[in-house]
Amino acid sequence: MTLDDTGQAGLEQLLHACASGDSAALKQLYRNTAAQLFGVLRRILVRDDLAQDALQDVYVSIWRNAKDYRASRGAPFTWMVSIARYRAIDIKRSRRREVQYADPIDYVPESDELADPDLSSIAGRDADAKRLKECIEQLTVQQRNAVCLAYMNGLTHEEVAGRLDAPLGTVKSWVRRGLESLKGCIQR
Amino acid sequence: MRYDKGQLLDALAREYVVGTLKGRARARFGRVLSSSLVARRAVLAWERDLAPLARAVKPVEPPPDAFERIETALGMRAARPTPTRAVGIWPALAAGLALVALIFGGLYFGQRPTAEQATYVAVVNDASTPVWLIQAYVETRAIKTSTINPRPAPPTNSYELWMLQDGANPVSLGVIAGTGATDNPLSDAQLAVLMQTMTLAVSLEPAGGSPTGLPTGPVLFTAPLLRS
Repeated sequence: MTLDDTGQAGLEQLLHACASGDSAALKQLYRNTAAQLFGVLRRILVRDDLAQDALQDVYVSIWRNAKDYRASRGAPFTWMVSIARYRAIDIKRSRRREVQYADPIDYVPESDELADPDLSSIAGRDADAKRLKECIEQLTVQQRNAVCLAYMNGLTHEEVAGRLDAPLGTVKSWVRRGLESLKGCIQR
Repeated sequence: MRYDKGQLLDALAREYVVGTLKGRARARFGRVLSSSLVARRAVLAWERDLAPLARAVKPVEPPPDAFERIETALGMRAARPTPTRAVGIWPALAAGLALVALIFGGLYFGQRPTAEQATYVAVVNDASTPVWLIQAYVETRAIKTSTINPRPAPPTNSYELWMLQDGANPVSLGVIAGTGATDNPLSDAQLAVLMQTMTLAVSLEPAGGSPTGLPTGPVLFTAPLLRS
C-alpha cells in the first residue's frame, strides 16, 4: 500500500490510536509509511544497515511521541518524515566519513533535464507531486541540483560544493534561492 | 545571538530543516526551538513546504524483520535469544541459573512476606562513590532506584537506566532521578531481558529520556547486576 491510499486523515487516526497505546495501530501505521520513510532514510544514509537502525529509531520515536502530535504541528506525514530526516541527518553527520565513502550515487547533472532520478518519476503521481514538479522546473539547473543534494541526500553545503565542483559561497546561494523559490511556488 | 529577528530566524529555520545547519549552531537552534514558539512556527512552515520533496524520494521496502526489531525495542515483544557461540556457554549458563533463581525465588516469595526482597540488585558507582542502589522486584514487577549520593541531572537532561545485552541493543528500564528515589514498573518483556542481563548502564539523555529508545547520550556508568 502506498501513502496515497491511506491519506493524511487515516494517518492522523492511526497516530491518535498509537498515542493511546494501541500497538495494532503502530503496525498499520508502519505498513502504510515504512517504505516511504525507508526510502528517505536510505537516500540520506546510503548504507542499508544505518538506514535500518534509523528506521527503528524513527518508529520508536513516533510511538513515544504520538501523544504530542497535533494537527497544528503539520500534516501527519510531514511530522513523521521530519522525524526521519532529522534522525538520518544526525547519524550522517556523526558518521560522516563512512557514509560519504560509501555513497554510490554520483549524478552530476549537466543538461537541463530533471537529473534527479527520483524527481523524474514523480510526475503523474498526484496533484502535490505535479505541483512540485512544476515548481522544481522553475529553478535553474544549479539550484535544482544543489537543493536535491542538500535536502534529499542530506549533504552539507561543503559536500554539495564538492559534488558540484562549485565555490562554497555560490552553492550556499543556490541552495538558499532554490529553497526560497520552491517554498514560494508550493505555497501559491 | 538574537534569534527573534524575522529574517535571520527564517534563514536558521530553513537551514535547520534542510540539514545544512550543523554542529554547535544546529544544537543551539534546537534548544531555541524548545523555548520559542516563533522559531517552532518558522520550522513547521519549512517542513510543510518542503515535505513534497521528501515524498518524491522513491519508496524502498525495508527488510521483512524490521518491524519485529521495532516491537522488540519498544518492549512489545521479548528479545530473540542471542545465538549461542563457541564461547557463549557462560551467558547461557548464567541465564539458566537466573531462571532457576527466579523459579526458586518465586516459590520462596510465594509465601508472601510482608516486604518482598529484591531479586536482583546493582550498585552504580562513580569511581569509588556509590551513586545509586538499584533493586529489581520480580514479584511486584518493580525497579526501585535509591540515590546513595545525590547527583542531580543538568536541567535539560535525565538519567536513563539500561540493560546491556550481548549482541543486541540495550533495553531501557526507564528514567531515574539523580536525587531521591524512583519507582519504575518492570514489564514482562523487560523481565525476560533482565533475566539474561549481567550489566546495567546509566546514560545521560535529553530531559524525559531517550527520544529514540536507544541510548543517545554518553553512557556514564555501568554496574554488574547481581542476584540478591
